[in-house]
Amino acid sequence: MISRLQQFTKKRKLFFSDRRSQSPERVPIEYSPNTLLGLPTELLYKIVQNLEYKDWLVLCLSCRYLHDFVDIFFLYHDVKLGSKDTLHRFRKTISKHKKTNLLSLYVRNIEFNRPIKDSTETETTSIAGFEYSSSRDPESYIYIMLEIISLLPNISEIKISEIKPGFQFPDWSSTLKTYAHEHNYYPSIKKLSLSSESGWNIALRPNLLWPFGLIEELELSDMIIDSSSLTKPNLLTLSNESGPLVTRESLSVENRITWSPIKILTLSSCSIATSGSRLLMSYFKQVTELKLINLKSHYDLLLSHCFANLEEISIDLNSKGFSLYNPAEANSINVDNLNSNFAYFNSMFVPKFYINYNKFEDIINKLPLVNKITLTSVSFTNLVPIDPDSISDEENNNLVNNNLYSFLKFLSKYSNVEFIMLKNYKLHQSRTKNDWESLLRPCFTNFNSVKVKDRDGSVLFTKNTR
Amino acid sequence: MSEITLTSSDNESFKVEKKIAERSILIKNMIGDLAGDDDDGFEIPIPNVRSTVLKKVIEWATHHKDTSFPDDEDEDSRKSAPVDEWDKEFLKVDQEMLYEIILAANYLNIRPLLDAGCKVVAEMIRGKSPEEIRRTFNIVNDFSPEEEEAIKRENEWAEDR
Repeated sequence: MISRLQQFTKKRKLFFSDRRSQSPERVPIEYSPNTLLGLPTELLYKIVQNLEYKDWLVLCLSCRYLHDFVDIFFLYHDVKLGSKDTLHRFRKTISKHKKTNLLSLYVRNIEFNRPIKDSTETETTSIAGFEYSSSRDPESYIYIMLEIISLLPNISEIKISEIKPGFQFPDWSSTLKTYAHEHNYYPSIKKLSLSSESGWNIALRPNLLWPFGLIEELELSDMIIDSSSLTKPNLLTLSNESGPLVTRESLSVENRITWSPIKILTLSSCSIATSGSRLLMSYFKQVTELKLINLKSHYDLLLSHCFANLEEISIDLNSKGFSLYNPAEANSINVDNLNSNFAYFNSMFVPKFYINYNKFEDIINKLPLVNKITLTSVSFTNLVPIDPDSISDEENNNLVNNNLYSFLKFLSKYSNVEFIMLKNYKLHQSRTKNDWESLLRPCFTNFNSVKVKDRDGSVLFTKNTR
Repeated sequence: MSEITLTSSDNESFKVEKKIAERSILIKNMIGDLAGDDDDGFEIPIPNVRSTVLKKVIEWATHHKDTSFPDDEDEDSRKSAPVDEWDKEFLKVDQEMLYEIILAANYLNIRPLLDAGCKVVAEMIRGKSPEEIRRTFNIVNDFSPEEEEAIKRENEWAEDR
């Protein structure tokens, strides 16, 4: 984002000098530094960030500079569309003067909220549990949605949120049919995110993926993967060979194996039905990076064994699965017993992960040995690692600190360990290099590299291999 | 070391308690990197900030000397958190001063002051008409009426959000 802001500033300066040399009488207005429009773009960005859609719309109308700025960085950067009517209007806007339409170039992320299955698409047949409609209606929600996507060349993420149970893409929307077959071209998308309508956990179905072509990164929130999620429906295959969720190789080579090209998989409070876990291994054989966010249970960590080519694993330490708050413990607040009191540590803001660590230590120890392990939403509030064996003094023997020690010791077997902090850490307090070293020392070896990053991605500490 | 000296762009010096000056992460890091333990009267030039603005910033830091700013919030909740009442009063200054405080807070890396300043400016924008915005911020309308209409039409999709 910062580099795009700099680019914008640079272009603007060029534009000013151009105009000045061309027609000195029509110089665009330049504002002095101590005015709103004279502020550096990154500060203007911070200001406009605090506003919402309706104010952005008004800012767009105030002058050319704000119009460009708001369009590029806000209004058209992340587009969220709800009703079919808004889809209609948005299509109209981005398809006007197709060749010179800048607005369609600004869109990076697009979200379709609560997509609908039109009643005009009712002509369906059901084969093997999948419904296929035979005709396509150019005014249907799904048709407009896919047309919009095809008009946005710079799109990197498509999000389909609050999907209702029963929503599905019809078979004509399969990219395998529309593009690969007719044009010998297969579209691709960097990231696709799917989430269920709140209160539901809908099951992943192949039709939810097939309009998007080759997906590099898939993020699923509140969804279920079961035995029908990862199969290929026969009707949709090219010469009956491979399904729509396949790699380029398996498209060209006559290959029976169905696996997806997905490289990065994020599962956020998802459930895997036992019938589905059987298919994970073959289907996600290309996955090299697995992110487990908001784990419902610490047992879900074992899923990481289903990915044969895994190189990186990322675990959210702030997950519900690690917080297991035990009300019985909260009731028996015993201030004298500092070692075992959940409520006490909780009041000290000690992350719950370390309070409950003993309950899932066995599972943690079973995590696969991959090239890199990343721990996200990390906090070390009021923690100091203490080796439980080296302490003779009972008073210093502290449950959470021992747990931190054990966890760090476990991490030492990975050649790359990365911590990503929960808060924007450096803005509030700072640890020196020495502080970090003494905190993280138990996970250091001569052969591993350890990195701590702030929430915003900036590096707070690094230790490289010797 | 208990006190340090900050020097503004126009060469005015301010003696400030170390704890107060360290509200600025830039200064805090400088002290950490450069000053020795008994380095009393450590002097830091602040070449980008005028004395009147620096004085305001020091006033803010002095008031918030013992404030512990919420730090475990994510980006979104910090965005929606309202501006502290004292800060709101404190930032009731003319626009030029307000932008100078924002610029100084950005340069000195004082996140809570920068956030408050940006929110106050955002409040000045919120709910206004395009004409009111132009008047408030001295912006020249460089659109023709036809262009204005065209923009309204192209953004129609976003209107009922």
